Amino acid sequence: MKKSRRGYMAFCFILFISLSLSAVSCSTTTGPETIVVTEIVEGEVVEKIITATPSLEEAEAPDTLVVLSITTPPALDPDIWSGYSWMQLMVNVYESVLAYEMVDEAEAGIPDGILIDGVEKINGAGDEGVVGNFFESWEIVDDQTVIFHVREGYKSYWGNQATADDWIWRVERAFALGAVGDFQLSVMGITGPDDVEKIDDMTIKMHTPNGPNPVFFKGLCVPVLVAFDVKAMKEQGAITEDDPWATEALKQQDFGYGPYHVADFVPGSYLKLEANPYYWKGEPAFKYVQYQEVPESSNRMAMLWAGEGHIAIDLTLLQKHEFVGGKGEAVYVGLPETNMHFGIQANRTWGAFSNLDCYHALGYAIPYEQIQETAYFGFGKVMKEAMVPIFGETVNAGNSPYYYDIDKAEELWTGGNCPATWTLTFAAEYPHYEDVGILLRTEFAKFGVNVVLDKQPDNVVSAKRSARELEALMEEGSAFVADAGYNAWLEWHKDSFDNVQAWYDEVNEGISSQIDQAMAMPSGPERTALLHEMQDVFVDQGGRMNILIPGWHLTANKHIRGHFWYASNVVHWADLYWE
Amino acid sequence: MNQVKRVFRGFRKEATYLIGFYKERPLSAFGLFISMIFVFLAFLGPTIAPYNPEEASADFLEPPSQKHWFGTDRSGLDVFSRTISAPRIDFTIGLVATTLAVLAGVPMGVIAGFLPGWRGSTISRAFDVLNCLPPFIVAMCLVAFAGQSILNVIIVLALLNAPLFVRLVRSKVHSVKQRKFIESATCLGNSQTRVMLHHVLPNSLEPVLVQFPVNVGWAILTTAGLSFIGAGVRAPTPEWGSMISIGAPLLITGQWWVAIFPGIAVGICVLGLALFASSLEILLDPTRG
Amino acid sequence: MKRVASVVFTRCLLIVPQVLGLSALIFFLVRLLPGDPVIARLGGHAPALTIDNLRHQLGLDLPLHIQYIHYMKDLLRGDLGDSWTTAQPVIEDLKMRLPATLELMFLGMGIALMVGVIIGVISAGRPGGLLDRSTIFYTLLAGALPEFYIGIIMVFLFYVVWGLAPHPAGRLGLASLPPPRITGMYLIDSVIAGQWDTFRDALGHLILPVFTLAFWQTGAIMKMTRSTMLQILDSDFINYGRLVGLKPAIIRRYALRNALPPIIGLTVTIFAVLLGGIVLIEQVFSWGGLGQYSVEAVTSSDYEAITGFLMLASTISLLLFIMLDIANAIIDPRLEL
Repeated sequence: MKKSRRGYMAFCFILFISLSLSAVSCSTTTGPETIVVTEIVEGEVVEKIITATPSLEEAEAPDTLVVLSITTPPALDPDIWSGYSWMQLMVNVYESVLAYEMVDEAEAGIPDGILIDGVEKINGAGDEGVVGNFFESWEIVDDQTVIFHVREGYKSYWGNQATADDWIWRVERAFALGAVGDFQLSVMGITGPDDVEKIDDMTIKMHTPNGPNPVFFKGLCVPVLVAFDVKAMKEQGAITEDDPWATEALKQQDFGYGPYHVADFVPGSYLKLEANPYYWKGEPAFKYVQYQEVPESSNRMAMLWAGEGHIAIDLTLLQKHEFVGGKGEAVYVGLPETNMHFGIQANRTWGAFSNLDCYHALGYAIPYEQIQETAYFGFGKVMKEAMVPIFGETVNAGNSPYYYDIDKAEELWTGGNCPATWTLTFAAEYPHYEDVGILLRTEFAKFGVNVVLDKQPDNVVSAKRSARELEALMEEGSAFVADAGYNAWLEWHKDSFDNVQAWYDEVNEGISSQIDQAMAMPSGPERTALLHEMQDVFVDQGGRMNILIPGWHLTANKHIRGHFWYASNVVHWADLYWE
Repeated sequence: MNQVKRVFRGFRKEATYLIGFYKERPLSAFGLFISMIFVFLAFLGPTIAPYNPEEASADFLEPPSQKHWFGTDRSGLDVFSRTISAPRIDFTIGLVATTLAVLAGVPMGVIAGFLPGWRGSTISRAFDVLNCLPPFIVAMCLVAFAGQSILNVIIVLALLNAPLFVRLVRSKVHSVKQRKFIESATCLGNSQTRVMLHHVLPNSLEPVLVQFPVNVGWAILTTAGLSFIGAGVRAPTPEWGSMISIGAPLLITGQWWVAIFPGIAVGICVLGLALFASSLEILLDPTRG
Repeated sequence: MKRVASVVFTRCLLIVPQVLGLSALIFFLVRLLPGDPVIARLGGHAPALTIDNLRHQLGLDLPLHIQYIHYMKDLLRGDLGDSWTTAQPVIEDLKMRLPATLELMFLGMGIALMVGVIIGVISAGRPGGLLDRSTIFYTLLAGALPEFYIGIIMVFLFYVVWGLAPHPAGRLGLASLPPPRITGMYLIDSVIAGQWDTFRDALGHLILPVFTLAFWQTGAIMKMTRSTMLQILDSDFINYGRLVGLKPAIIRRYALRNALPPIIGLTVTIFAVLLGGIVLIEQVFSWGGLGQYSVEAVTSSDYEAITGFLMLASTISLLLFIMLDIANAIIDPRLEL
């Protein structure tokens, strides 16, 4: 080749390499640096690699809290359930009208957590442990009527003072749309907009016509029962003739009284939130929040480790486990026991578990301890009852008769003429579900039964659940209100959307009517006895086989302090600060 | 008796030629060798594996050691056993899917190439339309619809690969059609069908044969891709793509062996197939050295 | 001239039935997906009445062929429906993400083409030499490894272990804002706006995914270049040139010119297929382009989004193939259509 050609090409290559190198070195951050240390482990000299990472801003507190999430929410409407990310945004741009009080773990009946500065007190009775947000105070007129006073100085991002109209509008909207708001209001005894009356601009009377409701106050702490800034909505054209409930506007914008406001929303990429300068508790420590979508869990982990993100949501359990005790810029924060439970819902109307023997066999075939040690990396604890015990006395703690005994399981399975194969469905988003599935599969293979692992995206699982098309569903769930009756209503009632088995035999009819009863009587020994009896029947007849109380786990930057745990299991950014 | 002797002598001649051929080309020999190893593993992999590839155990996330040569993953499954059991799935899917694609595509290609004028063009255009669909997303959709199973993945891959063979055969048929011996076959009074089946078809198969192992390789890569994204085979079936997908988030927590070994295995397998294909190409047409 | 015109005419005539066929295929394919988008949107809480209302509103209770007709009517007006995961019109989503994918593709394929052709030519010039053997080996290796595997290894080595590359989560650092949008491609837009910091940031984030893409595709181009060059260097007219005494440089130039059509053909084909094939690389790097969008759409049963994406990708592929066919027919008179 001619020299000039050769030279030209060489020049091109050198140019390309130098451009890439300069771009690489000019990029804004570096990943973790590594140092190699020698240690003596079990008598042998071992080389250990330690990563020492430079953090983004060493001493000064950043003004933007960076949250790394799997996805941005599809919409911001409090009446349309849209998954975990949605819930995360709801509690920060809106605020429930009442809230659980923040106390320390002991008072809340929860075992001590790691780096937890207090938790919500969810197990009080009646209005015990409930504090006011939008409603500053209340007077209990009788056991079916309460008068609420709206708080003076409760202002939105636009500086508007809250009025009773904001709540009335919310209630009317809930019943008009017939979605999440409707459900939450109904479970606390409000049957329609007529049950909520405006006395004057700052006073509201609420009435439960069907009888005293034991979860009335707790029900108002639910994240979706919020007040809207109706004045701002009218001024900004969110409420129109064609769209009186602002369904279009609320997809991408928020009009709440919460501590943050969505300033910029790029679906599929990020949200940028700005603090509400008029927030009644005072402006939050972080003036801005960047809610970033990072779909790959290992990328979220790497960024958190390097200090490029402050909170990483939904890392895998293994990744969370890595951060226990601190790693790089981040640290693990968690509670061993909360209102979450993990287990298998078995369909009792058709399929393998319509036969009671097979259902009992399942209870003995689950390797509870092994699941907790391996698939859950030692987090959580084995669950021995129908509902989480931290709910208090309404839960019949320890009433589960099941334990791991593979021979007994085989005996029941073969004795009951159970089928040779069954399908276990679970969401694809959580790798540890698959691990549990594989463990179960191995157990059942010991007596020749094939368990088909059906891993689907979460929305497909939801759709199939609603259509009652699942034979067995493995999932983590939680009930927001710490009451066995509420939990049963949510998960066991024959009409509940969450009840995959939709069993209609006598037992279920019986339990459903017991639930109805329990939700219309005041708290007390009579109600507790009723609920305990119901749980005993349920544990025997099905269809939820509880495995673990998984606990709650989060990974956050080591400088972040504040309250982390709430009954909704998502973080309130306004309660965090940098140290 | 003489007939039999003649056949055997023919075999020996062919065998000697082939052995000499591969001796001269170590790279191709390597490819053939690799391909045969994977065929062997496809048959006997799970049998010779030291551990049951689908059985969970208590040794989870162990690094490579005497006990577990490639280490174990999150469920205590032995990575080595799974890596050598995976060809049964991957290779089978690749082989069957490509065979189906050939069986579907070749006849269509022959007909399309043989028919003069617009009729041939139309069939070809129809298959061209299939070519425009982004294959990966379509595969995702189809598997999502039909459900995750080996059979569905095979059918989907066969559907997506058939147009390629149609195209290949069609252009080859075009050039074969022009050759003198076809003209003479027609002149001799053979029916068009007989000419097509007896004269054109056998002479058009060469590009198909060469493309076949390459396509098996693509099918394996696509299956791995689908499983990586969760749209391929069900857990815990041992399959290289799903093993990489399990192992990917484990790289950053230090358990590199779960993802690295299956990836290397895929690479070697597809490499072997590609080398074998290029040796086939030279074998069938010695002018392309 | 007349021939060219008739070629173009017949090819273009076929576009309409092909696009119609494509759209019908895509439409019905997507409607077969599992997962009920209405329930996915409203959640299980909603009562049956609300579900029915939304279903009616979205037109999902009509028979399929009627839904198809409505869809095509909207399509002709440029309306691809609304995506429910992003609450935006699909056409806006696509417009926003297409430049991300294109930027990655152009850079990746550009490098693959440059490196592939240059090295292919050199190794064809010295068959059997060291460079030639190494390129053969590299070609086979790069084609054999899955692209997501290459991407994962890159992230692991360059970000986690060596800390050289910026975090693999998108096109810009967290603190940066994108430049004012003209083409949507950050490199171009930041240069036009004079924002050099953003330019460096975007370039830094592009390095790994572009390198992964180039690594993956260079092999095929290298191989094609090499074999075509070998064939041509052996052909009669080149031999004649050598006999006549033309300088080797000139011979090489003629050879390359003749080798270009199949190389271009291959590149265009790769391009046409890459729009859908880049999915896994985008997923690994959280690129925020069309690939990632389509994966999320499939997993969320977002009918409009998937249909819109498939329409766009298929139409682009179809147009590219048509242009390629026309170009080939023009260049080579022997080719019959």
